[in-house]
Amino acid sequence: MMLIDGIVGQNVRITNIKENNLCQRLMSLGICNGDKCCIINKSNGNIILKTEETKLIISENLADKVVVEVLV
Amino acid sequence: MIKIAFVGNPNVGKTALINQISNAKLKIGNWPGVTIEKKEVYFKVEDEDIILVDLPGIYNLTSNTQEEKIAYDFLTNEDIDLIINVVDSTSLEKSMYLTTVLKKLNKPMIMALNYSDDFEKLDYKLDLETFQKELEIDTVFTNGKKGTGVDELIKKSIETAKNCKNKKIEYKKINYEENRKILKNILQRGKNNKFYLTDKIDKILLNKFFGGILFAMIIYVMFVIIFDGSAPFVDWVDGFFGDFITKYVGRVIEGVPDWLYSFVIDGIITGVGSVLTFVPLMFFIYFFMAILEESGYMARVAFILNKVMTKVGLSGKAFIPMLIGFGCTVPAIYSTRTLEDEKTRRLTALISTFMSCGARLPVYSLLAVAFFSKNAALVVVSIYIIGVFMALLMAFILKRFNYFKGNNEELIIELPPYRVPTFKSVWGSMVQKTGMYVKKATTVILGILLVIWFFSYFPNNGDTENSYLGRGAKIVQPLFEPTGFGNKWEPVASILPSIIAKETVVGFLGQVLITNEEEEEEIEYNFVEDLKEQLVGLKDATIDSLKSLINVGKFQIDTLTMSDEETLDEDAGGSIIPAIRNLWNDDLGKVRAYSFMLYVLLVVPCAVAMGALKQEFGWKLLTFQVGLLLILPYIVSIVFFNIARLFV
Repeated sequence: MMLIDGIVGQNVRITNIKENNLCQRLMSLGICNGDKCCIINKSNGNIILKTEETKLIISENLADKVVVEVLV
Repeated sequence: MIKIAFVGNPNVGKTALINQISNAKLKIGNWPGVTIEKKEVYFKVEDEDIILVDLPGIYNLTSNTQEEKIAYDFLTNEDIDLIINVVDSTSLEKSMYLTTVLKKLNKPMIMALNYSDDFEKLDYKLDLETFQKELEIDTVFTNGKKGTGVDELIKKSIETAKNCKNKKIEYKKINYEENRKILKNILQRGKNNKFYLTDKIDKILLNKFFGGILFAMIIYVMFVIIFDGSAPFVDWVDGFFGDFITKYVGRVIEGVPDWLYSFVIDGIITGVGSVLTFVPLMFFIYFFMAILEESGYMARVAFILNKVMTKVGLSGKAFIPMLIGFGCTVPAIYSTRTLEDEKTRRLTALISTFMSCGARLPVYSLLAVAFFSKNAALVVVSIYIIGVFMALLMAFILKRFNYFKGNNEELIIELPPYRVPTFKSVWGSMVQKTGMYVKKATTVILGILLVIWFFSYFPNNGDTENSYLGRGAKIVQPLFEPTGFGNKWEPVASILPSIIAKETVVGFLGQVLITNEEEEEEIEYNFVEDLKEQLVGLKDATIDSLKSLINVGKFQIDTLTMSDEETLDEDAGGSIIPAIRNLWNDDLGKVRAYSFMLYVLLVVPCAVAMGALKQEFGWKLLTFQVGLLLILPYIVSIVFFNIARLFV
């Protein structure tokens, strides 16, 4: 599923970032394919993602380009 | 001479580290984008001349943002001896990307693992020896706040810079994935969550339903404290200049020719005094700006306001320069460098000038207190809100033009952990910025006020109404008549110098409206007694300020307000507030004053801000902005006055 479809509190693993530029931007923020993240907030047209080291805001239009799988 | 460049992700404490090493006072904050240009600090260690270069925080060395471009240009074109790669030791994995990119430059490098205190608190463990060996970089743990590791860092830096001089450096491990894997094997994270407290605070402050309301409340309370807390001091400074300084300087220069007396008292003391009266207000506003910047809340504003900003074609990130604009328009314009898209930068810089800067605040405060007594603070807040509204409206309209229409609805921004602002940095920021206000008042503004005094004194020896300035202002006055405030020449005359610096409006009105004529009656001079009275006044102001801070919810400027019953003429000498009140003493006084405030809010920013706009975006945008901000305030004031007068 796409990151935009995730729900708050869900732990996800990033499996594919559809746009090269976005992939590089996320990588420079410490987020790569295969990384685990937690969706901790979803409002005002953005999603807040958290990894062990980073917490970042990503707007919904960008979240629509990130493929994730839900971790149980 | 050793030239060292400090490079790192945004918000990893580069500037704080430089300040700690060199005792400099560069601006620091807790949001991505505090440093937006390179700054250099010179100092000496054991006869060695050293230049430390503070580069803007970057994630990469591409040209996505102006900051990355500045850093890239500097690192590739300048002859630097060493790079200090500053890293947040609690975000090592994240920093590996930039570290790898920097290694590709093949320059001598040392890594400063900053926030070592947090690293220890979180119980992280790192095999430093393996880390250094595998990454091929010498590493030092540092703490920019406390200074831990700073001596070792600078010692190692000098050594490395000297050893590597004229040597070819080549790093072997320049693969990001590889470096990340190395780190994963040697870094052990503790059980404590880095964002534990931040998450708890964010749950409240970024709540889907209450986040926006809490933001509005924070801003509201901030303004209440700014006004209520500073009002007693403003009142005291006003009296200090009006009653004390004027009285004794007047005595010292007694007997000099009238023009010289007027030059000193009206030109210098009253003019500059009127501007300095608002120093306490500035002190309070800079206090809150420092708290907002250092706590980490600033970046959250982007999240809260993203939806609103998206509706006008911008992302939430664009609100950060707007928020900085509440302090000063100049850094607001420069801080648009954090935005990726050039057209978005243009639009954001343009609308940042609608935000009411600190220099305009004295004008609103003065008029609001003089005309709206108990509702003064609410009136000032309403002006700020109108500024934000106009900025958003303009963005909404202008985004339709290709020149401003960029790809600006994409938002990625890192949220820093909340940090308690340190007294040292908050105090330093307040003193530095207030000091700049005082410096400006006693240099540029004084210069302008002296020129104004000349034109308002001659040729009729103090008859301002028939002075060069009075006559000139009266020629253009009819043009401003429909705005309401243009029924008097004084506010019209204050517009031109305000383009150089907004504070001159207050100084100018003080100069021409306050009557400092030598009174007929006998004045008693007792310097010691009068000084004592001033000191008691200062003590009372401090107590009143503290009382008003305790009583925050009241939301009114108590000490500055005058009851409506007070006789205006009796109060009209020596102090600026009653003098202003006398300016428009008809039924439409309040409407005229508000119309003038709207004009000041929207009129072209000061010369320095216009210079910044030209420097960043060129003549085209500046010309457009000047044109817009000459026509718009005029229309807004006319519309407001003619509608509002119907209800009076």
